[in-house]
Amino acid sequence: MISREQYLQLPMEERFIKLNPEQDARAKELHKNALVIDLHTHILEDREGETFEGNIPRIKRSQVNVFVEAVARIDEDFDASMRLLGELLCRVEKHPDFMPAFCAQDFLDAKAQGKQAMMFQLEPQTFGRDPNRIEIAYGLGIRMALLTFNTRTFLGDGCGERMDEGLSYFGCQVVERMNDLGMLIDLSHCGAQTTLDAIRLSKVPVMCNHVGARALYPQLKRLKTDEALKLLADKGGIAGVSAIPNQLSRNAEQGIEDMLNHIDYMVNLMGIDQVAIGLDNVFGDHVGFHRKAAQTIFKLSYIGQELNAPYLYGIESPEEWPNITRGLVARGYSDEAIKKIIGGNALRVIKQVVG
Amino acid sequence: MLSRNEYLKLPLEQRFIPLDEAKAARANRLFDNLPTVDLHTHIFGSLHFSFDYEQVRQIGVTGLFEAVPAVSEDFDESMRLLGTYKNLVAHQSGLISATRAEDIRRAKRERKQAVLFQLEPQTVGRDPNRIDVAYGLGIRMMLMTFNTKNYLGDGCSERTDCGLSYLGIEVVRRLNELGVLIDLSHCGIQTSLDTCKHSKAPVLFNHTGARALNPPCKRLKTDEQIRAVADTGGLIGICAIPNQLSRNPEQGVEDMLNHIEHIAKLVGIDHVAIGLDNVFGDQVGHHRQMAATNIVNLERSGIVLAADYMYGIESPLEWRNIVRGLVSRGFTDEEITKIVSGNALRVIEQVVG
Repeated sequence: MISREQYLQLPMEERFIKLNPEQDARAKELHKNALVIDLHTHILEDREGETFEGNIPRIKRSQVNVFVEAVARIDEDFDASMRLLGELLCRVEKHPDFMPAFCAQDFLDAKAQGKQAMMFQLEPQTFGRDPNRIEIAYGLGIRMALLTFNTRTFLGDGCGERMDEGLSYFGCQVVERMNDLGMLIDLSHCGAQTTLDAIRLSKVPVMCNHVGARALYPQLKRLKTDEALKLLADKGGIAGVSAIPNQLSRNAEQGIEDMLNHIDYMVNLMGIDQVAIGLDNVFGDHVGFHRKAAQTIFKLSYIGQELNAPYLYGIESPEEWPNITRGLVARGYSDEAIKKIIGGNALRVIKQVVG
Repeated sequence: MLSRNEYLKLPLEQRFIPLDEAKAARANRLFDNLPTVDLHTHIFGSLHFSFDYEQVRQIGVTGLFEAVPAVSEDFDESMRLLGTYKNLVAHQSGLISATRAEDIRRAKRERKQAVLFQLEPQTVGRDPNRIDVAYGLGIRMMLMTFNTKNYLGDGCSERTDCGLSYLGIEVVRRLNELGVLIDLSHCGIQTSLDTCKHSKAPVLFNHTGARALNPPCKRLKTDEQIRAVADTGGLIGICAIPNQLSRNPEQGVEDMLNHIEHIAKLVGIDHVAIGLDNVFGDQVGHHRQMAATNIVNLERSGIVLAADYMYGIESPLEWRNIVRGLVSRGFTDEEITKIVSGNALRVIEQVVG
């Protein structure tokens, strides 16, 4: 197995899944023509020597039409999260190739104009105990929010918490308020009971926008149980499959095939209309980031994660996005099914909930 | 003379300037068919939050440049207020959350109203990066100072009258680069003149009047200041703030028209616009309350609360009366078009997009 550094030297074609010429043409055509949506990304912020400006050619190579950017203030400071949102929106507004998106129609407009659409979500959510902040965040441009990150909030328990309780009264109130406003609820980081409570309570579909199936990696609490995924599907919601290293598998070698395994499993369990993509990967060294974060507030043991693989072959960065479409072709999905997974399902739910 | 309460009992037509049938029809046609722009509104309240969409609809004005009034000058508070307002706009199908001139024209076509946002006071503090943040969140116009001194320059009610600081010049440059309109309505004389000199884009006094007509009022602008703003290609928005346009116990729409005429004569019709800055409630009462908070020091501003209200333009609901007044004073259709929106749309388009 080659190191991450060696892997990154490979030209893109060598990182991609091998297809025969007919499949290759089909994958390229599908990826180009479909409305492609990544429900969870971190591409706008400058971090660890990577800059937004510098990464633009790589963003374009992803050929993704819509990214949902996570506004990530780990300190859960509301005002700071709104300032960060403003800074990122300014970048998007001022770049001629990008445009901010606040509804499904904006996605279609962006594709028609050849622009990159950016929608925004709060991760973690920063509402504290003030429900008015949901309205403020909506007004300033947020269209999705987590209910909890890995630890407990005033709303409920995170998946890395010592306990696994359900939603608080305030949590129930927040679900109702988000439903009324048209802000999508993301349960990716919630504990098992908070996840089930929110799915049951919400009047509109919810999502876990960057997860995997717990059945394929039972030790990892960040992944979702069959019970949660089935209930999510029953209520019309979607699960976005992530490309987070060491969160899809415990193997020393991990990559695009693991993502495809989770997609296969979820499609089988939930149906083809309920599976989407939310990579949550970054341009820099994701495992290095996890290693550093583990020294601070994220104890890996809390969620049951181990850092066994140094990178994800075939889907280490957003620019390898076309490889997902190739993988789906290789696994025998129909054109119709592929279009649903790489964007159609996400578009449907965003249109239904956000407008 | 009627008391404010008696005045508010009058039906709207009786508050309006009397016109013969032909002129009244002409005024109505102009007001109903043209897009209209108010460069300085408080439809969400100023000192206290309030919002009644039905009232906003009845104003009948197409483009409303709403001031976000974080009187604490706390940046985060100003962004929270902005979010609260934009949320209400986003969930009201008759309103468009606007950021450019085309949004206002589209609002007219779709029989909606466009709401744009400005910061009043300015809450950038000493961090120019906040300009980018505010821009990203939807701000398209910003004061340089409110009534007192800040890190950028001096306000009009300040003891001193200094020019722009180095940071002030840096802020002007950043606002120009991003395409944010600069408003000098509350700035001191030297800060205004300096900003006109340093700005590469047209600047505004978006809610003011001519100091020549009420010399003690420091909130109004000298002929020199008005010429300086006009020389940038900018605008002077005439306000309807009681006790700023005149010192008489009886004040109203005729005072507004006097200021419009003075400024049109001084710098030409292409630089005159409207920025009422009035509220649905009791503006003079509001000033009394504000004075107690020391944010608006009446004495230091040269303001005397001589009148209790503005006849004919006491609330934004009386906007139509401005057009009636312009007709009665003999302005042509072309001139009226420029004053009620043409000039504003030109400058917004040029600076903001």
